[in-house]
Amino acid sequence: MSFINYSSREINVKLVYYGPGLCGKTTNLHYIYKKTNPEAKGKMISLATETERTLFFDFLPLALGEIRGFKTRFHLYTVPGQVFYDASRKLILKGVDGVVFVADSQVERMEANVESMDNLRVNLAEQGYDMDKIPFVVQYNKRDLPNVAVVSEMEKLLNPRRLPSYEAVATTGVGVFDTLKNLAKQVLFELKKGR
Amino acid sequence: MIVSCGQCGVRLKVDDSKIKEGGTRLKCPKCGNIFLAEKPAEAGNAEQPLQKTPPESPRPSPAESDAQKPPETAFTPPSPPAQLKPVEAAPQAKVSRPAPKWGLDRSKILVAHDGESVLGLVESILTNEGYQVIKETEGIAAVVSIEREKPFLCILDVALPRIYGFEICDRLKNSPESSDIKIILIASIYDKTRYKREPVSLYGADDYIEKHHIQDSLAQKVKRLTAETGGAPAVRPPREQDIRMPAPEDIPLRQEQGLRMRKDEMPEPAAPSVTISAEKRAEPGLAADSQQVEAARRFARIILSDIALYNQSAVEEGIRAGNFEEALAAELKEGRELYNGRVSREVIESGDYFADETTKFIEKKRQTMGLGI
Repeated sequence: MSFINYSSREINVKLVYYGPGLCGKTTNLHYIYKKTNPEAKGKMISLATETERTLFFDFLPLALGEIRGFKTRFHLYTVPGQVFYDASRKLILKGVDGVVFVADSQVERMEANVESMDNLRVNLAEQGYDMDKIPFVVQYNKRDLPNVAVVSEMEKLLNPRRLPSYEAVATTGVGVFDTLKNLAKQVLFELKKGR
Repeated sequence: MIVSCGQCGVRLKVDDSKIKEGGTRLKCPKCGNIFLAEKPAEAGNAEQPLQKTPPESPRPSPAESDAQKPPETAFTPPSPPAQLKPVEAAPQAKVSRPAPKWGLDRSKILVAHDGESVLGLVESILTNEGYQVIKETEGIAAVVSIEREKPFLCILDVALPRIYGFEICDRLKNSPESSDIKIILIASIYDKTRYKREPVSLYGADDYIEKHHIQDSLAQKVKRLTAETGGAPAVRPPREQDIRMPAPEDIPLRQEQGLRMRKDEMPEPAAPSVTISAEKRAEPGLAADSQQVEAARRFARIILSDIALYNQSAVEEGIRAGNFEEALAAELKEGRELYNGRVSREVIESGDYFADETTKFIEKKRQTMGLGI
């Protein structure tokens, strides 16, 4: 649910990066942060421990130009991926406008991917969202690692509706902006539809 | 005299003098069936009928059966079934391979995939090879069919709906009853171009095949696994009408090892399909229970996987020191609470799957760390 500030003529959009633990959600945001014009971004807040456990969320405001005189500001969040932190994930999903599901391509994490996707569906439904209708992109991350599943297999398990999906190596930036741009496009399309 | 195999119908010439009083057991060179050949009641060229015809075995088509039937005038009535010894009693069967607890049907192959085109392709390939193909489109139905039909080979899609193929594989291979079932995973896991690698884990499966290789490689893989089981290949209605028996004097001696007159066609005795009809059928509630238990196990594995991901050094130290559960007590307690909160009471009471998966996790980790089990 985007927030539109008419006085400042700003549209604020909330995008959430969801996925199992250590799948690369934070790495996506770090890369975006690193490559974004300093004038276009706010301060990145990351609550992470030395073991890279994201305890709460990463938050990155990102300005992406104007639409009909309104500035669009994207707020990027990640969720803690571990199965233990479901309450945090539910909280972060509130008011979401679009979701990137970051899947870990390693074969041994396939069960965790599926569990996380199921969990996302449940958590969205609890807040009245239909996962089949919300702007959504799937990212198959860690494609540079050995023992990765092929995309067709992952599509079958995680993306049977064949929503937009991208292969990515978030550490090097491959696929990171493709993913973000596609989601942003879908969200803006929804915004225009709703006007 | 001429005898014919009751299983595949092939007719065989045998020297009368080599058939003992009370009959001599012979092994069919086509299908591996062992049967008792007896001298006909009357002297002459009467053909010896077969005694045993397993009900589940594929039969020749009616036309072919008719073609192979001896003239009625020469046909001796079959001996009573009581004269038959069970095939599993053959010394050869015991020597070559321990009898599986499940009487596997070597004519049956189960294929489970949610794609109709894949199912159709596999079916046409295997039917041409003479196998009876059982098709399923999702995991629970596949499990039920496997327990009911006892196929000697299962071809399972890795990403099967409801229960993944690799989970079924894991379950079958870890159960003493079913561990002899051969399994091929249909997996496009290893990309043919960019990420082509040898599989690290097949979950205990005997082989895997990528979808795009089904057409060109499946039959070969199935043949290889059939040979590995030491068993008869599928029973195809025989085309050859004139297969010669070995030198008659060898017949009694070769009973222990199987008749070798055509070595390439000489499979070991087939598992007795008669045992299949006696097997209990899957319980009606099995499917739902299996799904719930599998989901509980899966969730336990995910919890353990997450604990390991975020506590890598502590996990490795614990495994190495043999005190994993003590070293990770707090995390495991948290995991256990999460597990208990998510899994239904019935499943929790039916077994401690969390502890079970923890044990497996430790064993697996020890293996990957080169510590042995």
